[in-house]
Amino acid sequence: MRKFLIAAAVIVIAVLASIAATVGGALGPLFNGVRSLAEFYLLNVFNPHNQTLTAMSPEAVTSIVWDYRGLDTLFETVVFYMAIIGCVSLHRGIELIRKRSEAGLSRIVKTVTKILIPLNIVIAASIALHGHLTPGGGFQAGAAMAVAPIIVIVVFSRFFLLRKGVTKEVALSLRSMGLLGIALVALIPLIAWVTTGSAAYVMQNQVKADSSFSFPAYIGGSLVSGSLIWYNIFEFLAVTFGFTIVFLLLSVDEETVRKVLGGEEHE
Amino acid sequence: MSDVAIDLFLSNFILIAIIGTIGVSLYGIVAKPNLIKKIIALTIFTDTANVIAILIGFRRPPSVPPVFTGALTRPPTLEELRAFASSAVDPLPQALVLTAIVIGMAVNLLIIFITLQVFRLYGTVDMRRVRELRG
Amino acid sequence: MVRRFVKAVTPGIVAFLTYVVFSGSIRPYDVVTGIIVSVVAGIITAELLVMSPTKALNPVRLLWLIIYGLYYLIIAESRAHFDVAKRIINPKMPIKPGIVRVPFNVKTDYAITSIANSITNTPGTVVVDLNTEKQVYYVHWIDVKAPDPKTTFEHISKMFERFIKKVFE
Repeated sequence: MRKFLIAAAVIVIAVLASIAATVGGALGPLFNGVRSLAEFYLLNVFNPHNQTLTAMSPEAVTSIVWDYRGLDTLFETVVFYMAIIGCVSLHRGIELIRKRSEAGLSRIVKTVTKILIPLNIVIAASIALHGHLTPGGGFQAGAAMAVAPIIVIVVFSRFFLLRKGVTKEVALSLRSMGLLGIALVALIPLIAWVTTGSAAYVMQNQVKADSSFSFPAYIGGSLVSGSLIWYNIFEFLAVTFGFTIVFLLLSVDEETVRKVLGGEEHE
Repeated sequence: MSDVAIDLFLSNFILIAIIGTIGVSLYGIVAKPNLIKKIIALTIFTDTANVIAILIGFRRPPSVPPVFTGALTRPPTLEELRAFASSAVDPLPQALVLTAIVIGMAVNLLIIFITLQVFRLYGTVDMRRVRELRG
Repeated sequence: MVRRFVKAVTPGIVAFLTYVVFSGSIRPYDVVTGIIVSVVAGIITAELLVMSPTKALNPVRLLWLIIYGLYYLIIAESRAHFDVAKRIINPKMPIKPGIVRVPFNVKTDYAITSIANSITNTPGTVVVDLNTEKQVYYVHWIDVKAPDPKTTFEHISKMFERFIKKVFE
């Protein structure tokens, strides 16, 4: 009853405060337009008439994430992977043993889950590969793809995943491959600068005012938006296996962990 | 009651509700001794902050998502682009929120791992008791 | 290795169709990326999904699957819906719920799963659990006519099993 009264009081206060704000004219009409910066992004994001400012992608969010504000995203990716490295190092010394185990849910659930795995893979890949055309991108695709390991761990047990070759080491190296890919795509303009001598910037996508370097916006007549598709693919790889590592570590049973944690002091 | 007044009232109500949610979640982070409840309050706080950011970029209907939906095989004309730019919502908050969500998720994972480790070492996630115990 | 590629054909085709439907367009870009992705997905999941490649690629089985789908969606579903609707509308509510054993005579995972899902998806019957050693499902039945295995098999899963044996066994 007391909780109910508190909740009711909060709602009444919110309504009264909004009425007071409306009558008092504290805030004018909201959301009537967007800022001029937004107009700039929307106008130039897929604007071949303005070669030096465009990202050549119809998807404004991905363009901002990987082109206009690309360095932000690069360092944000670093934060993400530092967090995962933190999780891994908290689990140092804990071995993920492989053993044969028939644990898991019933055969019906296992069969249905089995069928869902390839569909999960293609749907996540579709989100990643269409990141520069429709809403979506590397992060979202990686999060969608990470559903596959977690349902396998829940339905089949983690031993099944380890037996199929998705170990912590494999996931770590594939994740590092994704990160290296991102770094490589970011540094390709510099390689071009060294080899051809024309100016170029880190994480450059299309031509700039004083640089003629450009990733191909079209490959074989299909729009790939320069570097955006490559960033999305590598980010997809990195996020997928980053989450896989975390799920593998989260599924380690208590006893194993306690044995390692309590090792020196408790004996 | 005119439409304008209702409109203003609803906008104000959304903002005040968000501010209230932030207050409640901050109270949860500070006052609750249980680490799991602290994490839940923190995620509510993060999500509310993201809602504010998305709301800032909102544009009244008729508005479209910030994805150009014209023909992709030929370059778009300037008129198409101007029509798109004058009707789409702001993409910048969405991009920032996307990165914020990913960072938030990673930070949450790390916090959850640390909480798990605290539980394994001390046998409790109550901050008052963790303080008294020594590993 | 070659066997694995042959096994990957069926999952690959399903994966490609899913990719195209999910992407919602069929430009050359979608087709090329779709083929690459579905080949990868097919090879990854081939060993998990396909036991015998000849069975998976047999057109007769596919035809039986389509016939079964039509039978199931048109006849079996509407009969079960009609039956349950009748019970709901009837003011006396003539239900006699209970959990019964339903035997099955199939071996493969897919057959067991399809029969179980067919039973669950028709209104009035839900598979609660299964025992593969005794070869029985435990089914919650809205109107238990008799608990003996013969009656339950006759009423619940006889037709499903007849079709599914042709598709998956």
